[in-house]
Amino acid sequence: MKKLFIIFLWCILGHCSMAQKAWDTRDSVARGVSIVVASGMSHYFNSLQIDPSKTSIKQNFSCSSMRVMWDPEHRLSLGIEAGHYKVYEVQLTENNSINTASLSITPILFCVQMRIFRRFFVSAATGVSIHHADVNILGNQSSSQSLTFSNLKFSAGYVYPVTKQFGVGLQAQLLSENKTEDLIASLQVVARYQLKRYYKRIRI
Amino acid sequence: MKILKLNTYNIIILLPIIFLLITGCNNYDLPEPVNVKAPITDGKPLPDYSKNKFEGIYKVLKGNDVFGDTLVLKWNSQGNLSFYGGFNGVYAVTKGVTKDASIYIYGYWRFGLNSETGGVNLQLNPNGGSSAILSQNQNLPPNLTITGTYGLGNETPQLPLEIVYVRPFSEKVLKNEFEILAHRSGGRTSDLLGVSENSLEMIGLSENLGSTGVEIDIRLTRDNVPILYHDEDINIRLTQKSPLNGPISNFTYPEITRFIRLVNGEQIPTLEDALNKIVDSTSLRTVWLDMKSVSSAMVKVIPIQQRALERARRKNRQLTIYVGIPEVEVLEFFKTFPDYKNINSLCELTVEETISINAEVWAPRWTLGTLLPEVKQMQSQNKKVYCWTLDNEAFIKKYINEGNFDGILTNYPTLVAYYHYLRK
Repeated sequence: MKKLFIIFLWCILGHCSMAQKAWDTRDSVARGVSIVVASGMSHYFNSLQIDPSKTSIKQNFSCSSMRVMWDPEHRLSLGIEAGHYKVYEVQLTENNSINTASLSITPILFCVQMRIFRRFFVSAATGVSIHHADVNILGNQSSSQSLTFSNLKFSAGYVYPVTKQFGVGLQAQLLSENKTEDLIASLQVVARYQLKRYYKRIRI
Repeated sequence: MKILKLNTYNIIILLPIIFLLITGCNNYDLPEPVNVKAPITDGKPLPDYSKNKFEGIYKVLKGNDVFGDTLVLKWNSQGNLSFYGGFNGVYAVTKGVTKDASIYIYGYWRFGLNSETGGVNLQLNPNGGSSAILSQNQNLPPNLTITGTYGLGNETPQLPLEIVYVRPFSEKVLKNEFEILAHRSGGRTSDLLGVSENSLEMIGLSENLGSTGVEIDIRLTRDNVPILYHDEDINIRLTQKSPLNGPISNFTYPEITRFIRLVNGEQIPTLEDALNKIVDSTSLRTVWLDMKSVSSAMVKVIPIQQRALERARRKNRQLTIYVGIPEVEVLEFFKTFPDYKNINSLCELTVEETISINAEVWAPRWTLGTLLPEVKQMQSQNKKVYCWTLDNEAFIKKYINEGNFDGILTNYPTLVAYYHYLRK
């Protein structure tokens, strides 16, 4: 249901947005490749079906992500994004020993980003995720990795240009893992660096 | 900058989309369990000779909307009287008790092919034939009629239900040891039976659904414990959402028991626990071990199979446990066992390969047809033939009436039971 509402919000945005206008060339036609690095905190919306009387769960962790974007024109950017998110850690206390199980994910996503205001962007991404599950029971460690598909990520952010090449800002993200039906929100500080930049005058 | 332009035209388009998005989502939840209260509090169980008189084919006089036109009534070792019908795979699981020379039957009905359900409440008075049923010396009166009510959902049963006895089971049915094999220990989780597939609870339910045997899926954990689990991965189709992810074979059994529960809250059982449950608490005659894991799992599975068979022998239980051979790789591994020709096995491969390992059962896929010549050939060599996994009602009817299989593996044992017990 959450996914449907997210898709629905995108439909509204797509339906109601105005087409891009020809635009003042002064700060908006920079084209090239940029690298965006982000780091912050994530929160897992707990949907695990575990007995809360026997277990405790950590839902907030630090997270980081990086994306390489190609900006073919002044509003649209396409790119690849990867990151690392610790999703949750469940603790089960048993006879004075603590057993843990945790999940981390590494999404690798194809990303479409669009600037909708001057320095404000939204992006949508889809792709695969590598799930790393770790379990520690009575001192014995097990881990498992699996690949999942059809994951979605939506983000919105603001980047202030400090110099012509470098900018800093803030972004909020919502990551939806399809197979496990997990939902993670994150708030990250963003640093953007424009690797290659060239200008092209747009005729009005 | 104005980016949203919500005018009347946009709202007219968006409102139906919102409506469709909200109403189009339908949670596929378990039907609410039907709790039918016992009509009397101090009823006594029926004696076995009375139960046997009850069994047979009945015509439905009232209540055809749910129960169709014909019902089969059959007791099982759980002490329940099950009804099997052909309409939507309808069945009922009821208890029968007696008090003051009357017989009371109450429980729930359910469609096998969808999740509609409700209560059943029937009564047989001394004038209607209960005295004859409860007497050791009297025969059933002609036109024995059982009357009562049934309900929809959790409503109090108020709709009339009336069934009349037509005939007992045929000699062919009573003599024939036809096997009704229930898939995944009794039924699939997706059929919303209220208990999870491949669980001890489903094994307990399976006889109520008409099965005489079960097929169970075997996988191996990281610490080499054979467990009952169908899929390769831990997933929310089979389990409650747990903190463990990935292939189930990556985790040890202590890890699995601590962090994973099946969809309806049960633990994933070990093969040993499942076979002990079958031996100790059911009268199931056949177990088909479907080797889902790598062939090396057999090293662990065969000793457990032998122990369970020995346990059944000590309890004087008629039980056969077959190790399934689904692939050539498993077959080759099976052949490395000393004395493999004396291990109870079931082969899904060719007739020749079945004979080569002296498997007791050949199990062809149902889509191959009734295979009458091949079935005859195998039966002439004292081998049984079970076809799998047959769920289509028309083919169930056809295979039972025109085929000559010794058993059918199905997700809908109630339908197979219905057509089997109807045989003349």
